[in-house]
Amino acid sequence: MSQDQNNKKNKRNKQLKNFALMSGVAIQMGITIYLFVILGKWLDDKMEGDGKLFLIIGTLLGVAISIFVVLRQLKKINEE
Amino acid sequence: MLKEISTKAFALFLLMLSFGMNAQEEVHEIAPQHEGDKDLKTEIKDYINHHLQDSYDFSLYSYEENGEHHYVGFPLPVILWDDGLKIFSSSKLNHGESVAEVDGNYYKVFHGKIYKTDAQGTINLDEEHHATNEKPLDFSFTKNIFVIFAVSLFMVLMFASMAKSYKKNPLPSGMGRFLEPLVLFIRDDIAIPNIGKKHYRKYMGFLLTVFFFVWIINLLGLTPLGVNVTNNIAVTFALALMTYLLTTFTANKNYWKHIFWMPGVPWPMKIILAPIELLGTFIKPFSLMIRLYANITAGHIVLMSIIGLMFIFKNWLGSSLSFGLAFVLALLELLVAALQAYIFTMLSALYFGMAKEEHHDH
Repeated sequence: MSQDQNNKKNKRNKQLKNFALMSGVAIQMGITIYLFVILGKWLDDKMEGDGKLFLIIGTLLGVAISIFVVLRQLKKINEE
Repeated sequence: MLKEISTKAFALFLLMLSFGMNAQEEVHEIAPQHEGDKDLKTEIKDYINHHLQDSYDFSLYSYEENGEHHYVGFPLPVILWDDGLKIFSSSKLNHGESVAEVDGNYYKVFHGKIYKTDAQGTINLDEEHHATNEKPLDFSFTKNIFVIFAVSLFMVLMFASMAKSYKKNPLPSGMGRFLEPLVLFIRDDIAIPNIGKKHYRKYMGFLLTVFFFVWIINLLGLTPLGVNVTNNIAVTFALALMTYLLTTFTANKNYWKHIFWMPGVPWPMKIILAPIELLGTFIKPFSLMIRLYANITAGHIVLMSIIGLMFIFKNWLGSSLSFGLAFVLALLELLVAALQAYIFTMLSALYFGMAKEEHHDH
């Protein structure tokens, strides 16, 4: 009985913990993408052309990396 | 006698709410008196904006009578560094309405910040309506700082008396009966599962302090006292900074290894992962800061807007509906106040746990 209750309590706690962890995902992805966009813009300025190549590369890289980081986090949560 | 006083206090609280919404808090210009409806809307908007800012005095509410503003509250010391220390009472600033003269210098409040001006209080504006006046270094003892000190003092007294009561009797009594389960909850459900039995004790002080501090201050923000500390981003920044510093300076070898040379992945990945992981250590406390700030600010804006709607509708159906909505939202905010304190504590514990994680094979 008490074992069962304990398990239930643990499960609820884990859910709350995961909720807390995942509530920061949006900010985390946003900042990562933003920083990569800034990096791309800065590189474009350095190249002194009017191309937007690095901006595009930076944005795509930012999106890819932010998704990768979130997936890694999810994998870690699922392993537990 | 006591009952009479408490009824009076309650009536005063209700009055404060209604007076508060009528208050005109324009700092530099009085809104033009045309189209009564639009005026009330801007008035409410200005009032909300004003509430979200820190202020140099502790005013509970204000009202207008015969074209003059009356404030109920007390002034706090203003401390400036401008070629020497300048300390004066904020009553000299008169809520931004007059120019304070201190040792031959003139200061005026413009959009919640103190600027140096001439005797007439001229504020020079550039094209974007930013003041170009010189800004002295400001170390003022503002409303937020006053509340932070008051809450800290309250917490010290409360927990000291609680700790003392355990000396006489191991059973919790008084305040302890309510607080002991919370303290145990933080220890057994937050600290131990996340940090581990071996290291958790070291972090308990911080976790308990931050939980009760954020919780009490969030709850105070729901009273009509006009307290808003956790929706000041500087305060949440300071709290998140403490989490960051504690994580960084108590971290073990394993933590740094996972950042700079991730085990278990091929070496080109290790090089790519290192800057991302390093960035992650900054993003984590940053999201702590944003989460607390944004949740509490949004709550205050929504709640105040809906209370303001009561005065815009001015009929029995709309006003009572918005009153009901404000009531329900206030209850929700009670939950948010506790939830945000819990999440802040929980995530701090999680980050400490990462810093203290022992080596294990992948």
